Amino acid sequence: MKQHSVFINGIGSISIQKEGTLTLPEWGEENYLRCIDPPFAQYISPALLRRMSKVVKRGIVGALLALQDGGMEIPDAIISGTGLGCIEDTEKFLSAMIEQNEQFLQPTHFIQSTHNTISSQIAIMLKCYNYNTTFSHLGISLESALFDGFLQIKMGMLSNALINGCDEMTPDYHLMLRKVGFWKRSPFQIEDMHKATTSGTVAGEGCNSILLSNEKNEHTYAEINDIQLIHHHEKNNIEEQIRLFLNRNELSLSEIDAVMMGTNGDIENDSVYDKLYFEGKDNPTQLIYRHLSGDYFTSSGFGLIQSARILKSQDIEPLLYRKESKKDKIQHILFHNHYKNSTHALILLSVCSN
Amino acid sequence: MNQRIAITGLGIISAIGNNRSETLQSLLQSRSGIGKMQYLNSVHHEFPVGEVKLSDAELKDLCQIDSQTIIGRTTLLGILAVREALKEAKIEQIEEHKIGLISGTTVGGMEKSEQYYFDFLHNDLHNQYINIHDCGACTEGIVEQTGNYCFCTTISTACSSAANALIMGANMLKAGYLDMVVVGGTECLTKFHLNGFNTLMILDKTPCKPFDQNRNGITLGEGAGYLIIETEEHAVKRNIKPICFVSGYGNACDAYHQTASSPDGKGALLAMQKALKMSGLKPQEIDYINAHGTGTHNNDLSEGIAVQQLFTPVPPISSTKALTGHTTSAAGGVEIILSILAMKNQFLPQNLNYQNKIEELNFEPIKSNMLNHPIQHFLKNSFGFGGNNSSIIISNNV
Repeated sequence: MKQHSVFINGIGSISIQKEGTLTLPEWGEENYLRCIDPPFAQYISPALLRRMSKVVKRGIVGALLALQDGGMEIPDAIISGTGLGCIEDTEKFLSAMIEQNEQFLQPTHFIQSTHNTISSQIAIMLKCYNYNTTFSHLGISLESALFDGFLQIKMGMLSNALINGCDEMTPDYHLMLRKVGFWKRSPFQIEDMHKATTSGTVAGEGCNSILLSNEKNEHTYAEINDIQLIHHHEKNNIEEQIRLFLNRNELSLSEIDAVMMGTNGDIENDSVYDKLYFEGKDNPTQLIYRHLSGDYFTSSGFGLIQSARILKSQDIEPLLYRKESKKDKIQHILFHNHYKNSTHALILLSVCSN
Repeated sequence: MNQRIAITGLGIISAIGNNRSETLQSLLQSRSGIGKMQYLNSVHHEFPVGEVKLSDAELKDLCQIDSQTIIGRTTLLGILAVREALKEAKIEQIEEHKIGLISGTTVGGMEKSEQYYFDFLHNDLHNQYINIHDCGACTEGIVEQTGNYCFCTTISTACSSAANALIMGANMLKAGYLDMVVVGGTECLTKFHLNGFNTLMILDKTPCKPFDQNRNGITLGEGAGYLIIETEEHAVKRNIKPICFVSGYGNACDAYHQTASSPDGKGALLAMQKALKMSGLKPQEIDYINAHGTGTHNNDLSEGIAVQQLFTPVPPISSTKALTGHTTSAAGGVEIILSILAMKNQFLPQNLNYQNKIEELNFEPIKSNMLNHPIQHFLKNSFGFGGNNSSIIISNNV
């Protein structure tokens, strides 16, 4: 089978960062920040806007930004990843159902509650009748969507695909996740990202869209060489899996210029990366992003977009460094994200020279 | 190298049976599992439902899971069906293979969240259920009980989730990323779904009547259906005779409305066309269509229009939802398996509760089980909210 190459040709991001900037946010007492939204009315008509929830608006605008950035109108596929789907509408319908004892309910929130609302609304907006699907698998929802698009482009089933990772963090869901220990109890400090000593992370939300294509052009940021999602259990060793993954791409860890890691300030989460990249003999540059995006099920999309930008510009924003090793050129980035050490996502990205 | 995608194991649980053999008996006798609500704790007793005839405690018992374990009904249904499929495919030590699990679900752990939601917010009585609310946690729960897969993920495209899981799994096999994949979906009944569909005024107060002129909406059901798929080459190497093959599939988006199907059935037509194209089959080679056929005015008309645009004449067609109820995210898996059971036993399952032809359509569905009727290829439609439409073509191994 002829294998096609896969490139990142467009990106769009809505996050807790002001558009076009990267600064360390004031995390405050709650360790919880919400998106700085773009002017939605510039992209979506007022009639449609009224009926859309925030996460759907963000999903649509994120998608439009990525398409615009990549110079594309209608993609061959729309593939979304979302850990929680349209949680705000779900909560509204659920609360009304309980409070009103299943009587006199309105359909609007139910209609918008399903996880695939985002992908579907993008399709309706673009009148895109092509492949359309949604993944919802905890912290690797976005990576699952990316892998689906990558796989189908590689096999020649698609020429391009719009990948969209979107999650909102409502106050109620934030509260629930606090109860099960997701968030840091003490005020977040940047040192937590370098050497975590407590459990919990900081909460954010956002939408990160990536346009994949089999064609390299003037919009191209980077090439995605390979993706592997690994379900981790006692009988497969992650260090070995990383080695095999790099080997099948004719690389070793010492040839990787930077690792973009899913460090989030949680002692247990971060120790997994430390064991692999800090204590090991190979010592690539370590890059981190969750102190800038906050953590949410699809926050890895923010890190992926930073990786794409770095490979294109060859410029690394100092806030992204966890550990720097001197490199003349950033040729390969290994993107590594894991969720509770149960599922790992490895993505190999490379610079695209023209 | 033979890249045909073989199906080597099936596992199913629904209102018409807790396993394959019970399901086949119900199917042969057209025995519907739809009835009065027994297990779902809703005030809306006016709606019949297709429940799995087991309480959560009985399901845990069947799964051999400790009664104290924090686990949702959707996950329990999934565990039973996945285990049955693995057993038929003779897969014992999962970690010895490159095997993945792709599961479709939408409600996830909602049936617990809807009981404890206000507790989650206002006290600490049921915090242990917070972590099992979402779709991914439901899949992880199945993984925990069924084995060390090297890959797992969850698809959530409403009522086409299981069909889309099959498509992703087949693509991964073709690309060589996995040797075998468990694909399908699981979903239990929830007040959330029942009330949601009720607000849309698409629930029938009598058992659903797909493709009937006087159809009046959906009857909700629950269940799980999973298939083991692998390349034919891999099955042969393992000395396993494939049950049948996945010969084509297509996914398209109706891009019309969040909950309604387009009047011309555009997305449905595109999905069927893509599936046919991949299979290399002509429309007249399809011996049977297992329709999405929910029983709503909108779906059956839109699907019917799409079917008759592509097929002249329309081959024998039925919706089996009057037997099982609409098992939503699991429907693709459950109904492909029902159709495979029919195919292997050479009959076409009837479209129960049908009386009068839909005026706008030129075909009638199957009125009673057609016995001694070999099927070589059948097409399965699975459509979801958001216009997420998928079609799958399965071919017999004879």
